[in-house]
Amino acid sequence: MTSPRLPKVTIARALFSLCGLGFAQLLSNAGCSSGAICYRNTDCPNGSDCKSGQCVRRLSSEAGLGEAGASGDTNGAAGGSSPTTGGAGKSSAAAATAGSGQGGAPGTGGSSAGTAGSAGSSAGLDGNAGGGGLAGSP
Amino acid sequence: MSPVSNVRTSPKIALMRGGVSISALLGAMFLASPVRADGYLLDGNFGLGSGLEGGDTGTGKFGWRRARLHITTGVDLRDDESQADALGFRAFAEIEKRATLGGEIRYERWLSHNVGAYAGLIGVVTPETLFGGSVGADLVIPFGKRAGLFLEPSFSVLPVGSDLPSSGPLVWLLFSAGIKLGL
Repeated sequence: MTSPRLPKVTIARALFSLCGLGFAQLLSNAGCSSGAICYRNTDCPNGSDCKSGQCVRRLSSEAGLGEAGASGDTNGAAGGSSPTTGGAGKSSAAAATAGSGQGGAPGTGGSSAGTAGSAGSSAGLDGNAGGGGLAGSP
Repeated sequence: MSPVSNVRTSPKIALMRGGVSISALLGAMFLASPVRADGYLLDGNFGLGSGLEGGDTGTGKFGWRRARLHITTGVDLRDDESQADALGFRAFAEIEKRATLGGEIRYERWLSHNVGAYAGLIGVVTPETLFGGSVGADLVIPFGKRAGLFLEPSFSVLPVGSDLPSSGPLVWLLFSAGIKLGL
């Protein structure tokens, strides 16, 4: 008794389909890293480079001469709240790399004693915020 | 008189015959259009591809992930006297994340009209650079006389370029499919 033979074309189609399914499964998840890890600099947004699998802000003259916030640190001095201390600039990481303009003008003294000067709030070329405001004169 | 003496030609007639022959020969040589002995057959391609991308993130650990989607287009030039050999030119774009633009030049060897293999140089040129080599195979499923569906698995190693965060190469294991047209 002879067993029925499948046509070669059918076998080839079945193998081809299996290969396609396997490839799709492989692409979908198996053994792949998550999208959070970068393998190329172009995996990161503009102005960032891939370092050790993570995107970090590029430190270049365009981005700032100073400590432009790769880690998102703020650079300006903490604003003082005492009557004798001017309010300092406050910059975010985004602002530190964004601006090519001048830093904010230092705040001028307040009109009354005990009021801190307002601080510059825009980021400077070097990523530093505007200088601290002068204390208001009593 | 003998008949031989009757067919004997005078030098004048012989000279005229020689002149006519030479002028006819020269005319045939210079007025004939050149023969196209080395023509090329042109095939156009357009396809999509993706697969696996492997690389070193800078930590010394080699990892894999899904490769970006590639859009590829190009031409194959085949010598009409030796259709097994071909030269292929491709331009491709990766359209996920930050889009890139690249190209490839490859030598193709067709084992039959529908099955071939190739090796070549591949590179990304903008916005960062990436260069290396690639090998692959082509399978064409014909649709009609001039069109076909091509399936192309390929393997590329790209060790050089500003797109690499570390000294390790980037590896592409891609599968592309698309339309091939005889132009």
